[in-house]
Amino acid sequence: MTLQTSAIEPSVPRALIGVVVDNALVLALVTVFAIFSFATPTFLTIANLQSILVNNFTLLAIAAIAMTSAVSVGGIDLSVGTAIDFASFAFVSLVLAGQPVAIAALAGLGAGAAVGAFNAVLISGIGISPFLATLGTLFIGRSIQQLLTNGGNPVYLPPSGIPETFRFLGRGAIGGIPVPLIITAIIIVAATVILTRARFGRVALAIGIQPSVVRYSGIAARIHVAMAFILAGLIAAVAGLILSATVTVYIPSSGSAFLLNAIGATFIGTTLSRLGRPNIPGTVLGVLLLGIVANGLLLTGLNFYWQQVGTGLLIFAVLALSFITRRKASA
Amino acid sequence: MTSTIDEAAPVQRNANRVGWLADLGTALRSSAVFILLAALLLGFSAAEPAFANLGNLMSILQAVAVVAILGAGVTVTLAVGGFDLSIGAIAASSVMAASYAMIVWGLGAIATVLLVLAFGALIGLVNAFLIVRLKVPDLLATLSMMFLLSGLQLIPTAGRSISAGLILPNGTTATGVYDPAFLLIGRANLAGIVPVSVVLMALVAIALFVLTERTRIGRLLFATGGNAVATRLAGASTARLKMLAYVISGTLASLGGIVIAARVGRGDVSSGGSLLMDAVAAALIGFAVLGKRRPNVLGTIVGAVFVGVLLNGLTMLNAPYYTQDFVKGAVLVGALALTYGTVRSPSP
Repeated sequence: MTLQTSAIEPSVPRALIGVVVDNALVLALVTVFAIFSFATPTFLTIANLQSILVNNFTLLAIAAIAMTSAVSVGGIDLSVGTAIDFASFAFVSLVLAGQPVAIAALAGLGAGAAVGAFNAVLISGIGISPFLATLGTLFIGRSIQQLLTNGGNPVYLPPSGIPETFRFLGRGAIGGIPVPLIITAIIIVAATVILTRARFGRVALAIGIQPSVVRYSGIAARIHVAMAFILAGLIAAVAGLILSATVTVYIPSSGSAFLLNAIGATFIGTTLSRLGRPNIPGTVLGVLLLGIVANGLLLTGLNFYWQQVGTGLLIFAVLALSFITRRKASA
Repeated sequence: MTSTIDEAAPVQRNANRVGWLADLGTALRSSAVFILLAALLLGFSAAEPAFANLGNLMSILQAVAVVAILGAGVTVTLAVGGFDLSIGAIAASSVMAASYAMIVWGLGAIATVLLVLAFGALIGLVNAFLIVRLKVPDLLATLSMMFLLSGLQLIPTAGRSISAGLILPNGTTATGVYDPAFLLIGRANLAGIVPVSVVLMALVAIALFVLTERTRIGRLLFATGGNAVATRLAGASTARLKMLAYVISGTLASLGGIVIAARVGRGDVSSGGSLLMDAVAAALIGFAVLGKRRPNVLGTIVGAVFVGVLLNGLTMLNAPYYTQDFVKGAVLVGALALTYGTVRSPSP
């Protein structure tokens, strides 16, 4: 899926198509944004735009970045939701047991990383393909949560017993910017640096594109694949911490709600970017696109199930457009 | 996705490790699922005499029929190197479509079945169009189809389940009822013993087994999954083969939906929830059956039955319902470890 835009002759229509193809994701975002701004009076307000960033963006963005880490090595992680849940369970349970928030948060991150490590053992150790291995983790993880909670009872924090730092993580703000948004921004920057500037990221992407070449170059591909999946678990755990700090409760298997949207955002980002491979900016724009559509459809007052149809139609339309224009550009 | 099917070429890596020990190991591995299945049947029969009764064994088969039918479709899409995430949603919307056709439009059993099967085939065709013509990646195309269907199926009734006497969004009351002949698909037993849904499962299994393992088309399907470019250069139309695979997958998913609708007797908005994962798991467990290390229809059916036996037995022994997912996950990982673990292939 490499685009050779430089090879296109500089005639005006072709050049225009090239620009459209190169920036398909940004254009889609702008179009959707414009449509909702006209369609509903409340969409283009500061309060609503903030709400999109906090409610429709942060958690999914973190989950989708975790997914991007797994997709970058040519895999997929169906257990991102499991890592979110395990982190949330460890975090909430330890806070409930009176442990300091910092310790509980570390334990949560550890739980998420453990899910990633389990995947890493199955994938790099035993040699099961990522899709299948993480599917097994998804099933087992769901059941372990039910065993831990006597069949799926939520773990509530009593309103009086919520530590201030815990609340701060989910609802606090620094200089008017919500804490979850700050954490998300840090993760976006860190993940971008790791994936594009660090040696690990380059090797990871190389494994995703052509694993045999990486192996023949004498690089331990297995170790890098394992690291990518542990990283995915760790990043997803951050979403788990923010989720539980926001709702002050752990609900078993609630993380799986992010799975399909995370896959969707990652693949929108991969397909619609000029790079044609997993990349963090593309994923983030994909999440924004899904978030804006979800929020905009909600504001238009349509039934909730139209949101799903809208999401499906959106992915269809964007992809179809991208593939059609791309074929024209390379014709 | 490239990651799932890179094992499709069955390489004989053991060939140079001569000796009867290796042969025995191979034989054991290829029949491990059957040995385990036999052990389970014996163990459960010993622990709970009611388990071995014919009625219970038939109810196990009836319980896995839908998953096995969908799993057979998954097998075919896996064979061409694709993946169909929309089967659960197709089955669920087929339940709604069947109910809507009978209760709102007042259609009979035969017309309903044909209509719903055509619906499934059409969705499969749309998937194939997206994947083959527009070159949208499989996972992405079928994922958006899944979103689309799970929303669309709620719209004709404004989110309500469909049963006789349904009040339509425009205020009128639907006059139709479930055709008794339709209900037979889910509830009748042939010769008083074998449920119709089990017969359907067997027919699907035989038809697809013959198609995938005994015909030229079947070999080309696997060839497409193994190396699409080589297959195309060899003169086969990989586009048509993929299209065929997705149409089969969609049609079988709608058949699964028909069986569910006929068993439940109403259009429940929440039906079909875990079907996708269960069907995929069955197809993947099937990799280990007979040591094929590739998708195969027989393995998928055995995989579905294996999970069904395990869940039924555990339920009889009073295991809590929430151990079910654990069992499914453990079986899946175990089967995969069995398939790949003993062979040191140059994995990712």
